[in-house]
Amino acid sequence: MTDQASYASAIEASAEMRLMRQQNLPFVAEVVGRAFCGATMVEIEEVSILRIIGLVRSELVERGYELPQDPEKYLTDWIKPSSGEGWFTTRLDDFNERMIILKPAGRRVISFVEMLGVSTSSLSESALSSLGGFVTESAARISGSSDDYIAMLERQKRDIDDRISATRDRGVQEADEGEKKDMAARLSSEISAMVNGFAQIPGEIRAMAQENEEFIQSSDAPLVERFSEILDRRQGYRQSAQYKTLEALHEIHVSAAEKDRFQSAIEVLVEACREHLSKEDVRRARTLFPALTRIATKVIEEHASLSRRFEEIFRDPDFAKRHAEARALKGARDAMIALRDHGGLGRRDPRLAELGLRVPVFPMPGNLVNDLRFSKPALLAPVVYETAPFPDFEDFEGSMDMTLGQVGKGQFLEKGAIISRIEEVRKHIPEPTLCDVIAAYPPSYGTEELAAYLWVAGSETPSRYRPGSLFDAVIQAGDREVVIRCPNPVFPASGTPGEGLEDFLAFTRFSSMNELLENIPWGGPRAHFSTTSEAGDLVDAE
Amino acid sequence: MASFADLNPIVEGLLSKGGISALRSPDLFDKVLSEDRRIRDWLDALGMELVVEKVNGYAIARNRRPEDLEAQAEDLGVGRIDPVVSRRPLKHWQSVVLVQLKTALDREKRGEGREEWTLEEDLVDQTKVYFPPEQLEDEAGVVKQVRQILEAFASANVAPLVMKRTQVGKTFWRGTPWLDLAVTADDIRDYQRRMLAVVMESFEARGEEVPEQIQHAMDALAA
Repeated sequence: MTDQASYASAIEASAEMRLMRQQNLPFVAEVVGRAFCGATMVEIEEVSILRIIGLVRSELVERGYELPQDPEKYLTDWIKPSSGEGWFTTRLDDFNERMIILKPAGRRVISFVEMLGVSTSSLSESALSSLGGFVTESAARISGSSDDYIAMLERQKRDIDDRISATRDRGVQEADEGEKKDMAARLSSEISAMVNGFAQIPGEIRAMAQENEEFIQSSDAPLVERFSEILDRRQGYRQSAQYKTLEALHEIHVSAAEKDRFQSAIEVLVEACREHLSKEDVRRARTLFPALTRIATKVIEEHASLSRRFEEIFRDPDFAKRHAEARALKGARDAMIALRDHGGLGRRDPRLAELGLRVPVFPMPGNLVNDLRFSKPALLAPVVYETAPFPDFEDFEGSMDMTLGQVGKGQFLEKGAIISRIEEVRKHIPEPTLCDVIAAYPPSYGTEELAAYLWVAGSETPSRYRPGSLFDAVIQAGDREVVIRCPNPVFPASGTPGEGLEDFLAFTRFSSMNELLENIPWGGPRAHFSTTSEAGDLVDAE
Repeated sequence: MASFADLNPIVEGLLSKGGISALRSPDLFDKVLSEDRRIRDWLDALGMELVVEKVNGYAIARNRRPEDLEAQAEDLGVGRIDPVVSRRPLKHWQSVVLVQLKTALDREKRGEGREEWTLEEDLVDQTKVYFPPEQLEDEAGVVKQVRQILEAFASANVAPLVMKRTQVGKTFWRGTPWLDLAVTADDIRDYQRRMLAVVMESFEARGEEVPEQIQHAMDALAA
């Protein structure tokens, strides 16, 4: 409400005025008028409004409007304009569909547009009558005197009795054209006012729920006090005019007789006043009650479900934990704002690099070494192979040679090459062990090659492990010697990779793969220890 | 020594694949529930604990809190127990994105079990709020950066923190159960503490007094 002295500031602050100044007002008004009516008077699916935008755009372009953008672009602008006021907000419904909601200011603009050209002088009589009833009743209530209030009700009763008796004597006086015109204007105006007010209720309920949730999460008060406060707020809302409207509509919705009576009355009124109503008014009048009652029921259900949700929050045994988590998140968001405003952050501020959350790094990431599968029979006699010396890159004459060496190594350790070597050995030994394969194909790339065999055994080709089955490989790397105690899987012709791994692990004195891994000298030429004397430490028995 | 051999697939799932999902491996998840005690014993020795989210059907292993480890070491009479899982620090903007998604997961848990997927545009808008205004002058750059962060999280091979889906040409994002379980309230408070420390340093560097509100938040964290 505005007093005369502040008209200017009211206009400056008015979202409605900013919306009405928009260049595409005829376009958006037409879209809103078609989209937000009947069952979709409160919200509409994104896909439906996009279809309406496309349709309206085509019609207006035919009439000479220039509307070059896609419907998606217009919708985005009306939700989040680069400057000025937005018409819509959004939410995801229960099926994760994006719903478009008309903002209250947008609805008031459309209501104003709907009433353009309608003479409101005829409404003054009905308005005067409503005002008279309202002020008389309010004055009687405010006086606090029961006698005054009863006297007012008696007067109303006498008035109704007089009208009943007059109707009995003379019958109902038929409405003339002038009265029908007034009825049509009032119908149109009341529908507009009703829809305007009603459409804001779901948003208010959701806002209240959000506010309550903020309260629950941010308050330090004891649980019982927080719960009482929420109950008080809910009770307060149930006493409000909005909730009473919803309840009244819900009652109509659930009573078939009530619904029929209302709908029949509207039909009679619309038929009688048809020539004074626009096509749009007729449609709005006919769909009003079915749509309102249906939406009211939905909103009441939503309200009830929000209430249940709060009760569940309090009853949840994990409430304290969740409360702590929600508060921590809120604290982090507040700190993020403080950092934005006072941290003096530059675009490449080095402080940002390690400021964030700490996330776990797995002890067994999915790389080659950790895909190792441990093996079975203990072949404790050392198997010694000469291997190619570790390449000394300084001796390489050029980078081409280096690349060639790396490509050759890559090919040699590639999955297909490893499997073909295993298959080749299987032609001579039906179920070769890794030890047999290495005997046939001495390793050229030391520990990496052994690891590649184990990776293939663990994930790519049938293999079987037996508890305690290990062998020692002595790797000659140039002038250095490395002993590797290595799992020794069998490679049968059929089966799955890594069979029996669990039993193999259980056989060791280690309680985890990680611990076992740490005790196998995968570190390459840096590690060195003698062979057989340590075998008993690694396995419990054989 | 007690055998844990039959737990191997569970151990592999917990430590190598980031967790066990009832959706992907229902039998394995059932086994986690039935072998709960033994798995906890096994993880205990590694300084870790089992966390099971029965509603979403997800189980992970995570480090026990330092104070719990200290207490455990004292009970056992050993010097100290270090968890085998290390943690790596994320960058600030990565964490800002995760806080948004973790907040959505938190709302989801307090909802009626409905998954809350956030539209990419909305998530970008929520994240932009935390960028200083001068950085937002290059808005396209900021949007690109946020999208890159999301894509990188979602494409992790092991335990991705974020997942995405597209519907009617729109992209939606949601935190994974791993994000929900692995990033705890303590982790978030640590992050908050580091941010506030930077803010306080900035005030001190400018020779200005630290606002009461920030000092109060820092004191509350210390308490």
